[in-house]
Amino acid sequence: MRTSDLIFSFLYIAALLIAATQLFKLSDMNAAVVSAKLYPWLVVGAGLAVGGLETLRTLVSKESGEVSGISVIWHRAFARRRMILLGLFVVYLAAIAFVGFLASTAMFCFCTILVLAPKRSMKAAVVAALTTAGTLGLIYVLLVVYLEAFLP
Amino acid sequence: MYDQILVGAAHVFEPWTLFAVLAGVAGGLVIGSIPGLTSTMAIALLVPLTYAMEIEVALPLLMGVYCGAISGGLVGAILLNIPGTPASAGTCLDGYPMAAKGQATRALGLAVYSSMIGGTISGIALVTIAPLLAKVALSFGPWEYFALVIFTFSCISAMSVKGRAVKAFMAAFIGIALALVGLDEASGQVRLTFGFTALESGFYELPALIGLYAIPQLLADTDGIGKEAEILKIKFRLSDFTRTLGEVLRRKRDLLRSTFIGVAIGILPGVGPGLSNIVAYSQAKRASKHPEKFGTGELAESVISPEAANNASMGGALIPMLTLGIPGDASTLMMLGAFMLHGIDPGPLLFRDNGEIVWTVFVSFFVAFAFCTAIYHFFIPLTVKAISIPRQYVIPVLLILCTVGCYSLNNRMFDVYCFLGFGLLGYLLHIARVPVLPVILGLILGPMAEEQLNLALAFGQGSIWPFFTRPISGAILLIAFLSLALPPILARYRGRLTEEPA
Repeated sequence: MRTSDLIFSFLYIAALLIAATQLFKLSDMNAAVVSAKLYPWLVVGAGLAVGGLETLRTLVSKESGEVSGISVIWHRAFARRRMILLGLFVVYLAAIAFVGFLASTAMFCFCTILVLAPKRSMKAAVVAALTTAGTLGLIYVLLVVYLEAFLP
Repeated sequence: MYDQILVGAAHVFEPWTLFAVLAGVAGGLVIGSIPGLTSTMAIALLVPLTYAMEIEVALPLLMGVYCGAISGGLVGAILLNIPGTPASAGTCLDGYPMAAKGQATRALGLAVYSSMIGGTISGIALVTIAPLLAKVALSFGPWEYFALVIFTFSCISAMSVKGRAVKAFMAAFIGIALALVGLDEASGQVRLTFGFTALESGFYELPALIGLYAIPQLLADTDGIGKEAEILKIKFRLSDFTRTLGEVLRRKRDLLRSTFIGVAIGILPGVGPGLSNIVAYSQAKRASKHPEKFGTGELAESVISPEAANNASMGGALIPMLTLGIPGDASTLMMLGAFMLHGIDPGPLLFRDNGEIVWTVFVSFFVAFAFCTAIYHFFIPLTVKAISIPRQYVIPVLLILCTVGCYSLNNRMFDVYCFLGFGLLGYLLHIARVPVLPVILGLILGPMAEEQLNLALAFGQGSIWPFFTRPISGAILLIAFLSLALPPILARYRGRLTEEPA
């Protein structure tokens, strides 16, 4: 885990440093007893100190026994099914604005079930269609009819 | 107080509210029994959907889901050897071997009855301790509240897996920094918006909570598709099932010890049933006359202890949430989100100003356990079916429900995009093996910490000494410091002892 720990620490410190650049724009009000900059700087400063400490700890750590190497972690993080699901979900959210909620939800639900299924068959398609219809029915009855909420 | 109890009970015993609790318990049992879907996920799914409901119905419904989902984990643990929720991890150790020996009904009975007894006793602890703590908390000033926030983060860090304590702090700082985004009401300045006007109102907590929990979990759940484990066959007989109640009652000492452990761990901020069941199991093993038989599925107490403890943690976890506004575990954190969604701030004033709401929660807690017990008696075969639902059908449906839920909070797509953004952040943390809970706690407690720190400094004319000189604040900070400093010192000391045998 050492490499991934270092990558995480690097990203964390970089994010806090970027946040720190924004804090210089803050100004104090004359009437205020407590500085408006105090808490944000305290958070970013202490956060950076903790990040530095963790980076040092990782670097000097003797623990070489990588539970799983970076390639294994990378492979797991970008596993095919995970990325397909994420991709479909992003497309679904983007499609809501253009196609409408009900149509995009129906497409997303049906396609995702079929794509994620270990085997594609007629039976899987029928179950996917039924699940899609059930989900849309549930959302409509629960949200629109019962709770009188708005759909995206 | 008695009128508040009666009003609370009257709310819960309305037919629709009772139906809501029952539906919540049934839904929670189904979600909790599916491996990979936790109680936190179940509550996260439902909280936004309760927005349009009356709070007197919404809270009992969520209590039902909470009780059902924590209890539901035992079915997967016993019949699949995969805990439905982390709260049932300890139950796998002996529940599955017992079921594999053809005693599945006995294992389920022991687990169900000990869960229900543990949960009910923790409810009694909740009802007795929470009002007392709320009275004490009324005397708290900003110094004590700020110290409590520090204590919460130190607890999470101290309870982290070995080598991950500093990472837990880093995660907390990510959450606190994200809570800074938006307009600072005190100074009227925008912070960390990078010029995006959409960020000026800050991040709404619920889409962030749901995204951080749901998306990484659902992405990781896709790994299990096509690898469904074999479910042990069960010949369920109600008479065999009810007979185990006597066996549970004969193990009073184990039951009470585990319940105490569960309540005590539940009260600690940030840790809950996930830890208590393992601690209770190991303590039961230590106290047993036959520790060698643990793991073989022979002893009743090896199933009773983890299950009594995990349900007992629920009552414990609600105590700091209701009295101090500090969640005891991830599920109560979601419950805190539900309170905030309905415009109610948990804390000592809740007991004074909205006592009937508190009693609605208390009464619905007991009613939920009663329904849970009843459902288990008659619908075990159905619950067994729930654990065999293929994941590919569940994952997209849950993602859609999360999306709809996030949108319905404010009727704006920005919250849905926040849900996705926080989900991606949660996934990054998941890959880096960084705990997500401190991020969420940072998001929720960050604004509280800022407000209390500013108040404390203003009252103390800029001095930080009252944090240390006020007795309660000083004691809380001392405990926080010791919880961080002692474990590494003790570990080093123990290491020396093993290196230099006498």
